[in-house]
Amino acid sequence: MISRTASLVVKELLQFFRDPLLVLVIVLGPILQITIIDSGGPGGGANIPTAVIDQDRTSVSRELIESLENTRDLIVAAYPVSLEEAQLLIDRGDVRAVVVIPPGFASDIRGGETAPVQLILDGTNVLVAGDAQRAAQGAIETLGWQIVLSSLPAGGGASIELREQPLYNASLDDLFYRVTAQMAFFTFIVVALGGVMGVVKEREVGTIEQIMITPLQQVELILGKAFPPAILGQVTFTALFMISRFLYDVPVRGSLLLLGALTALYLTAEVCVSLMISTFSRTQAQAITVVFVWVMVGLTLSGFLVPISSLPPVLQFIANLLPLQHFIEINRNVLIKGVGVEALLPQILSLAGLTIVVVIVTALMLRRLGK
Amino acid sequence: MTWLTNPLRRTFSMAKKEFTHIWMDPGTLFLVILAPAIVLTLLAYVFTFDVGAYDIAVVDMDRSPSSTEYARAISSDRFMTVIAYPASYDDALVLLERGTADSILVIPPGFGIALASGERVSLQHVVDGVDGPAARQVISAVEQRTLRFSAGLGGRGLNPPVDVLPRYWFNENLRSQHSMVPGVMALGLILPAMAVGLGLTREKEAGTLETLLTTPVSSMNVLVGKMLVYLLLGLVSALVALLVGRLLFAVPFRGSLAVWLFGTGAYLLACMAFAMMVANFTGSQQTTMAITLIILFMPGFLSSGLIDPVPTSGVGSVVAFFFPTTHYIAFSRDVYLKGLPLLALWQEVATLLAMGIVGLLVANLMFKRKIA
Repeated sequence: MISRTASLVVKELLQFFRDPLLVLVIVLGPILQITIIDSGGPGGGANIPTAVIDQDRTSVSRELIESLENTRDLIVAAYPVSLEEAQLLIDRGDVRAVVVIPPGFASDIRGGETAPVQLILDGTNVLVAGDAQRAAQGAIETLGWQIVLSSLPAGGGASIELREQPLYNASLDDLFYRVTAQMAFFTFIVVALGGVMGVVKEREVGTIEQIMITPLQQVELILGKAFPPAILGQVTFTALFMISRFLYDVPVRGSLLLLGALTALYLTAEVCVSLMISTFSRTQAQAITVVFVWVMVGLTLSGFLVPISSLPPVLQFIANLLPLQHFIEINRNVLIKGVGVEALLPQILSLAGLTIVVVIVTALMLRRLGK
Repeated sequence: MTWLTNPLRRTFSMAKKEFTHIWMDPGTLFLVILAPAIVLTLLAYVFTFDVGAYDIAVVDMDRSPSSTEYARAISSDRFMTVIAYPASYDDALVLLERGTADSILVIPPGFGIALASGERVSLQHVVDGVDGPAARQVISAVEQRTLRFSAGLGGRGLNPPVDVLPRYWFNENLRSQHSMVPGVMALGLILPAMAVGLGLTREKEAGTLETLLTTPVSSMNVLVGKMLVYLLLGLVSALVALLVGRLLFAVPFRGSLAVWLFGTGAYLLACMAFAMMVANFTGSQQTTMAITLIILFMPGFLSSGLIDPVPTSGVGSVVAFFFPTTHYIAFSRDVYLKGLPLLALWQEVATLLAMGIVGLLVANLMFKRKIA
């Protein structure tokens, strides 16, 4: 049995490497994406260009501008004098937010009154607008209360000092967060693209019948078809791991053995999904369309782009059915947080459960195909 | 005269042949006409999100009325929720490890007494830094609420010092779908472009391309003829997607439809020319798909301004310039939501047109060399 499976694996690998361009694109694409395109600025993170209309021109308003810059989410890129000028900047996309500091801002606050600060946000990109709003609002309100506190007579008000202690990621940028998600996501793409043609191509050309009449068993066929994309996925993941380790200094705080074992589990699930798509597609074009949708669902629902906790409940439920989502969590938590099996139990159990279901369904579908 | 009409006639007969092909192949027809609308619907539903709330665990070692009041002041709005009061710091740390809590606030014993006597108290705020930007927001939010609480104790609780009035331009209620639909249009329209590449690859696989080239038609006739048909069908699919966005998600369309269609045509041209170049040197549909997905689709998602703004400096900005998606996402959002005229958007449209024309010429050259 082993030799039969091995010869199928060899045949599959030969077929794969007959198209070197495919292997090159599939493996190099993600590596290029993670090293060049997404390298971003120092520390990554969104630096949202912001304009400030300072109609107060006091030391307090200058202090406000400084604290806007200190959020690290905003960059004060322009000081227009009028709202019309600011509108032009927003229209052209030069700035995404405008903070209007009204005349009398400093004296209002000192005098115990409420100073209105207008915040204009470009709503064409809601994610950027939301980030800008939270950052600006936080900075403005914090400064306001600080001024109030310092103007209270001695002994008034409490003096609570907050000592912040960030865990796992002292610089508080999004580099580790992004890179650990990308490692998992690109591995997902490679496996999805690499495995999806496995069965449907043979079917379209008509060679699947030839394979069915060989003494190959069901299990052997699955194993043979699953190995090449799984190896490709493993190679990609290892390469991305090296890049994240040595180029981006992503820490390895947990057990690599645990991560390795769980990666194998994840690859099993993902390869089987790919084979499943391949088995129920009638033509290559159909398989391509379905895998496109699958990649899109993975991208959007795995917490890679939008945090799962901010999705509507139905989508959160669907997200839990994606092996990728659990793998991203596992990869991130083992590497950055250094957690062990106990803390990962929900993810590990979900991933294992999904893998079992997917393997069984794929086997059943392949058996039906053989009849 | 004949030298002009003949190529034109040949191009049109190529286009006619191509159209019949597409019409008879339901798979391609689906990719070219309906897939963009389906991608749009799927992504618009998926990108329905709300601002996430932060979950805080409070380790209250004081257990006095003041500490209870402080914890309530911290979580006075829906953006910050105290999800647990663990008995010890170690218990709280487990919550942080599992991701149940985003941060831990430790209120030391004697907090209430110190506040009453006007002494300085320090609180520890331990934050899960894995998602850095989110962590910064938790820190800032707790800081701001703590200051408000402190000022309130000093007798100044009624008038807040500032009132921030956020206004969202172009998207008053900050509907995520209004922002995503014009952007993900770029991703959906990659499918008709991929169909061109797949079609060429299929003809190469079947060997019908060689047959075609033994006839008097030139390679340019073939490419332009194919392109014309796919471009027109691609525009139809864009209109279908536009209608879906309007009917299903009520996304406003503030600009001119003619301007939008013109820019969309330029974008389709750029993507299709790229797909044709790719099809020239790939040997299988799988490779054509992989290249389209990795070079057009993935950067469209990740580095073209759909989610994060396009970087304005460094390698990232240079690379982003070469993705047609970068220009189209900006263009589509500006026409859709800002209602800008063509004059304000000429840079994007000109770049896309240039990409398309250069791509088509390069594809033709590569094509000719292959035949020779």
